[in-house]
Amino acid sequence: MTTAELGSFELVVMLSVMQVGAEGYSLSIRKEIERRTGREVRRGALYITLDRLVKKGLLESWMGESRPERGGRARRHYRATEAGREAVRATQASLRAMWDGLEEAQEGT
Amino acid sequence: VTPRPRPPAWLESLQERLLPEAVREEVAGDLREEWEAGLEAGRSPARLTLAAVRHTLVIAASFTVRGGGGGDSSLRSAARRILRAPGLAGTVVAGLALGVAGNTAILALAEAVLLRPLPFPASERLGMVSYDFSGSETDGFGLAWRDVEELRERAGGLDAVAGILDWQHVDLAGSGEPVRVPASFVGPRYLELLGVEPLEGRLFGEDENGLGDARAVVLLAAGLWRDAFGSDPSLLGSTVTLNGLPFTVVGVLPDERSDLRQRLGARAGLVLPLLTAESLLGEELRERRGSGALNALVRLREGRSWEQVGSELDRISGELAATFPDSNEGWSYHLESLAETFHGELRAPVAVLLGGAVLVFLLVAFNLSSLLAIRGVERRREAAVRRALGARGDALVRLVLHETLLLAVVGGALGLLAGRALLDGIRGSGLLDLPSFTTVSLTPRVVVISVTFLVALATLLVIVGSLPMLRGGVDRLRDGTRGTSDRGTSRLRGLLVAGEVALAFTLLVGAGLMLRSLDTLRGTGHGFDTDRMMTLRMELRGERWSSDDALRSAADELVTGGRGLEGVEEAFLWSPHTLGQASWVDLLTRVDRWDLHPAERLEAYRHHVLPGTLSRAGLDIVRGRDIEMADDAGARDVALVSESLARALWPGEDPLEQRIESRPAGAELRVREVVGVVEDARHRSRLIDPFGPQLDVYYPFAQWPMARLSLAVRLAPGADAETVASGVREVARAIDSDVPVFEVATFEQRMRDEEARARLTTLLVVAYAVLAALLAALGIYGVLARAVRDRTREIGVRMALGADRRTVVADVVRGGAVPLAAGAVAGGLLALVASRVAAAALYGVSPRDPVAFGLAAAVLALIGVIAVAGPALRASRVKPARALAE
Repeated sequence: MTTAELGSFELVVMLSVMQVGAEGYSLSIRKEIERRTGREVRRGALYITLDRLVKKGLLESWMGESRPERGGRARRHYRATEAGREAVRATQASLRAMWDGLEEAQEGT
Repeated sequence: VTPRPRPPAWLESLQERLLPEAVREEVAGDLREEWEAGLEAGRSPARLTLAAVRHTLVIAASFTVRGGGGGDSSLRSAARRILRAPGLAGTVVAGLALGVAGNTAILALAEAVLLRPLPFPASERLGMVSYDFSGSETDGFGLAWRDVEELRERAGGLDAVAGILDWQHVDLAGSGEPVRVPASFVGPRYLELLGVEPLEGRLFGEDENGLGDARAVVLLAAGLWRDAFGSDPSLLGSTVTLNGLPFTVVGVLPDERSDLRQRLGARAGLVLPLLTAESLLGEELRERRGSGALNALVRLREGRSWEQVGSELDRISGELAATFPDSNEGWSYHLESLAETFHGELRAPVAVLLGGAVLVFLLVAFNLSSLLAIRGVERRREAAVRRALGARGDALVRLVLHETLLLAVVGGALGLLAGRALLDGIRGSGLLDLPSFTTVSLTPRVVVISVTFLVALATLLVIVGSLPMLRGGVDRLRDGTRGTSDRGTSRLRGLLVAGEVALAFTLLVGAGLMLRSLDTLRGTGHGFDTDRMMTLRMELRGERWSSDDALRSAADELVTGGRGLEGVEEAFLWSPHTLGQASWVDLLTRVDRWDLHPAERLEAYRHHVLPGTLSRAGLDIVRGRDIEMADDAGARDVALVSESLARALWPGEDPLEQRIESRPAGAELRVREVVGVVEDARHRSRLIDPFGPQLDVYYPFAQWPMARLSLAVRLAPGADAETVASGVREVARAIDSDVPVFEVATFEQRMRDEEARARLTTLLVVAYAVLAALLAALGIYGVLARAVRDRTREIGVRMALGADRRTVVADVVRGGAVPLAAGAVAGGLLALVASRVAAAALYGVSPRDPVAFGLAAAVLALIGVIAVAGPALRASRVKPARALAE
């Protein structure tokens, strides 16, 4: 099976899901991205991407418990699957391969 | 503890409709969580809701773009398509809401005033009888008691007659301070005819309110029972004191039925047997014939027409005049239906409002249909693609149908809500003088009519929106022709736009005139010094006050006591009415014209004042002298007249030392010598004939004392009106502890109240004008935008052939300028006619006021520029190559 590679926003979303851990859900995932990148995330794009990553089997999701502050609705939690983690690693590897030799394009040099 | 706010329920249903099912739960939950967090952070629920709506729409749109629009004609996909053109959707929704709101509110009024029968049994047979005087322009004079009885005895066409004496006041003393309350005196059967049921207790018995006699019993309105007695049930059967006399309370009436003429929101009072007016008010009812203070509530015998009964009453009037020429000569019964009495004066304004609302609705329909037609044309290509892919015509129509349906539902719902708010506004404003028994509400009938209008409009919009798409067959794909604009249709559109502009211009002129008129009202005073002025009234009653000497000393006591109060700079007596609220008139003639009939005499407002009062009020004596101490009861009778009255009585002659005679109702003829002329002042509301001649006559109080006293008090700077008022109450109590002080008001407040109504009317006209102007702008824009779109190819060709942008833009501008100019000219003419009709509503402003016309023209020009700018810009940006390639 060939490993899927991720688009840049997909990568950001995957990394954010992994950063926030088991309690992560759409709002905390979005906040994490905004905190780390300093850029605003479009809501529609985030939901669409999460949905797509689940459909691709890179994320798995489940509904938590119903919560009063959500009007009785549950949060949808996300976790990277083994395939998802593999995809992140593969993407990082390809990117690193592309960076090789481009010192001036790398941060901190 | 206020309950914690929650997001509105409709937000949830919006999300349900718009969001794809897969993410609905998640997104709705997230947005709710953010809503709650925002609330914790102290943001307002309204703002949070707005943000949630925005996020919902954006998220829904994101999924749409990804999903792509197939031939899906479901409501949800319609919503998404609408959201792709939010400007158009917003305009359509706003337009629909506007049209529906105006229609709904005004229809509700019209239904209540024009259509619905009055809420009384057999109300279509109920009428009111008053007196007309031959040759007199004023009508609606009252009847004397005997003339009501004559009706009962002689009129075979009437199966019930009940006298009514309303608009009266009596002093009620029970618990605590005495209060002055409104009172109606009603004849036998009056309450029964109106189907009045008591809330508590009972109505008058036959022995209590008879034809020839009455007992001292009284009915209270529920509001008075509550305010004055805390709704104490033990009051029933016990005694209250009215004008110093004991009366037994037998029942409590609903507020809105206690007095027919009570206006909406006005205070309700007492209902008493008709003949108790003799003891309570000192009216010798049974003695009098001819004109009087009563009206007669009558019921037509079944099967009789208003005309039949009217001519029967004419015949009886003739008989009475022949038998009792002294009292009845010239007087004739005037019969009108109760609906006419109470809603008659409202019909014209309500009809005007209704016309306005329908007009606005038609304009909205025209503008929206031209906008949607443009959109239809734009979508021809899309339609052609869909048809090429096998879509049938009905699918295309369904596409438009669903879009329009959605917009109509949203716009209609908003419109109904806004209509209800508008209705509350009109009702609460006092703009329409509605009787208290007339309920105005959104009845099912009103809602059905409104919704019918909406459905008709929506159908029209579906048709104009889908027609161009249906016409676009597969061939459109091949040749890609843009329709050359149809000459006939575009001329019609131009005409309609010119009409809109004309209407807008007329209304703008109206708005300008109203604004100017309000401005004039603000700048107009009474003509005497009203600074820090407060007025209070009292009315002395009973044996104690039957002598002139007693009244004279009471007046002195009141003035001296008032002047001695802290916070009072100046105090003086005015009688019989309050300063600035003249209502008592005297029918005057010069002494050499005693032969004139009462109806031909001059009606002058009479003021009974003490020496020095005129100068204290700030009124100048123009000629002769003021009233002096020497003008007492023993001296020769004197009077002062206003400048206008002097001119009216003795044109071109010297008024001094002339003599006038007056014969007030029930009093003997008196001849008085004019000793002075007083400058004109507006002794009534500034709204009543403020620039006409002010006919006023001033008598020495000492020579003609009255039991009706009012004190005018000029407060010291910084003094508290309430404190001074209670001081005056103390003074009044020392004079007579049973007599209430009432109608306490400052001039400042009174003048503000006067202006409030003018301000409201102005606001309404300005709102209509702005609306009309916006519609006109939209109309111009619609026509031009369509023209530019239709002619894109032509413009491209012309530019390719060397026409420069300026020529193209000039062409578009001309397309807008022509209907604008034509409309402005027509509107100018219309405004000239309309403003003359509306002149009665103007205050000291000419209906041809150049400022108002100039203002309207300027606003219209601005609108023209705004409406033309967009399409002109688009035309100038046409790229020849692109236009030709498309």
